[in-house]
Amino acid sequence: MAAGWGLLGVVVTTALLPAPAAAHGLVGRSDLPLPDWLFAWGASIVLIVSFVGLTLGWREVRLEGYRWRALGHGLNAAVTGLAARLGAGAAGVLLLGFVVWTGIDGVDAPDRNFSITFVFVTFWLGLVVLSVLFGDVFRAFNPWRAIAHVVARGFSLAVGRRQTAPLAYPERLGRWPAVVGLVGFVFLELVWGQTGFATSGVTPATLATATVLYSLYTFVAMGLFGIERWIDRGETFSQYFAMFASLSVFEVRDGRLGRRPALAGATTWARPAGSLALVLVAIGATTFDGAQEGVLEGPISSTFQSLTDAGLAPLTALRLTSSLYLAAALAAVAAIFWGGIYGMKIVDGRRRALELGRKFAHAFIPIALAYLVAHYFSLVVYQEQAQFTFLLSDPFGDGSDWFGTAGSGIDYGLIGATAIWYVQFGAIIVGHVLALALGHDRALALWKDPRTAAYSQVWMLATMVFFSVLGLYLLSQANA
Amino acid sequence: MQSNGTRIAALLAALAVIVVLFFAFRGGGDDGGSTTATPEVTTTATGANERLSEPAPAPADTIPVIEIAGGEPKGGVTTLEVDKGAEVRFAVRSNVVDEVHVHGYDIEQEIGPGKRTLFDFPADLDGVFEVELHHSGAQIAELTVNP
Repeated sequence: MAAGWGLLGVVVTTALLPAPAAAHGLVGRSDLPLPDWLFAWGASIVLIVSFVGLTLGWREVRLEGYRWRALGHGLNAAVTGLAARLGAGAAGVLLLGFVVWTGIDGVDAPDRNFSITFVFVTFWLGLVVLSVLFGDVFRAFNPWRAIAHVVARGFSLAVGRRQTAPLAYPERLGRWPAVVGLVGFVFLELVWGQTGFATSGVTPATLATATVLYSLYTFVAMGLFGIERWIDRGETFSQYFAMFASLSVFEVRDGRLGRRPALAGATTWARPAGSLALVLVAIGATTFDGAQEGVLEGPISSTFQSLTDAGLAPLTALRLTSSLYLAAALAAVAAIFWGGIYGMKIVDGRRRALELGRKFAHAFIPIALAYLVAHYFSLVVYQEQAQFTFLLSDPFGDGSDWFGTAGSGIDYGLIGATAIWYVQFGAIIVGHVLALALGHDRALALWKDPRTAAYSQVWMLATMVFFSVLGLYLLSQANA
Repeated sequence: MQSNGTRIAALLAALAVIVVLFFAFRGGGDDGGSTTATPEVTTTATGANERLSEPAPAPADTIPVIEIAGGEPKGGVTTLEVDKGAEVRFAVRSNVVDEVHVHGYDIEQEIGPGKRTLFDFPADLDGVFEVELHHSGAQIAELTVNP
């Protein structure tokens, strides 16, 4: 078996990787597993909080049917005015172009090329944080939206009339195209890019190609269904970030910035079809990524071994194994969720399971957020230092020094292992409480009788407790 | 849910659960807290879940030696574990010229035939770190520094 591993190492490093440096993972320091005592405290607090929430929670609907209030004129003009919109759109387009450019022209080493850290950390993870704090900021920066609007405006000026979309977006399709896109992105990041124990690496060139292909696909879809319509339903990143933005206190309505109670926006988020799938895929993807560094490490290596023994090439076997376990993680998350929903049907047999599932989908957004924070916090802290030092001054990795920061690197000592533990622990607890609040409010709105509402919630609570404890468990097994 | 009695009962039940859980897990947590500054060396020969633990009393002169043959570590990835503040010590012997890189600490040293390269540095950064060969790209050790 050791010979097999050695062989794999040789094959992976010689055949797959264009440069030796590409074998490096992005980050030089991994998190220590959450210690048992902290896991025990976390699990206990999750349980306690759930009981307390159930018994002492509010008795009237609070979040549903929320009020939205416009913010003052000056602030509104500054944030949603023409200058801000043009500036944000231009910034988005420049960054998109720069990702493709550095991806094609820069070095192959993923840790020294701007494109990889920008797309997988600053954009993919950073925008989640910004969305929760400031609302749907990606809409303003969305490069595809900006380009499409400029082209459409130019076209209508040339032709002399406004163009309407040739096709009506089928409402039944809902958010499903975004779900497919999310699975695709996760596949690129976690299966194509890093397969369990070996970083085969998405090269900057692959990323540039994927970016160009996704842009083309987006423009075609926008041309068919209309720019805003596609943004509101099918565009993967808009939908992914908007899901987290629904928790935020800021909301733009009819071009005006306003405030709403925290979490309240989520109550209306899950109406289109496919919303539930989007939340579950978000949770499932992080579950897979966390598990492959810990609990699933053993099973993944033995599956890989049997596949290579069956005659598959190592790389094919690697990717097939990861695909299988990603699919399994997604299925497991869906199964846990539906288990809770079928439990609720015992309380109220008149409602269909699918209806109940959709009604409670939004309550799991905070859990998806908690998983992301717990799993990727340290990665963001490390890679953002790289983003604003050497990747800023030397984005192509060719030795240039534009702003004099090319010599600085990542200070891995910026946060200690214990601090990371407490952030992970805190994220899961806070996520659980927020999920609880959303579920509680929805139950009160759905069943006017507080008694039925409470009984139905026992099931929802059990599901949430399961996810939160699973999250803590994965952390306690990571890199162990 | 309606009466105060039920509420209090639920709260008490919850408290009981937290206490029981805490004590149930505390026992397991304690052995993690034993502070020994001696480096513990484990060699992972096969899969990740099969660890051959050698309870090393480790006098200062028995330093783990990682043998490299043709750009690959003999006997798989060596697991090094120390507590923060202790010394990390290991040696590398290789039949080809390469460079060993300790990630996170960013320590790099040349290795090559006919010599034993010694690594000796204070573990001032906690976390899990890869020790890699620069040219072949193979991971030769995993360094765990506990806080």
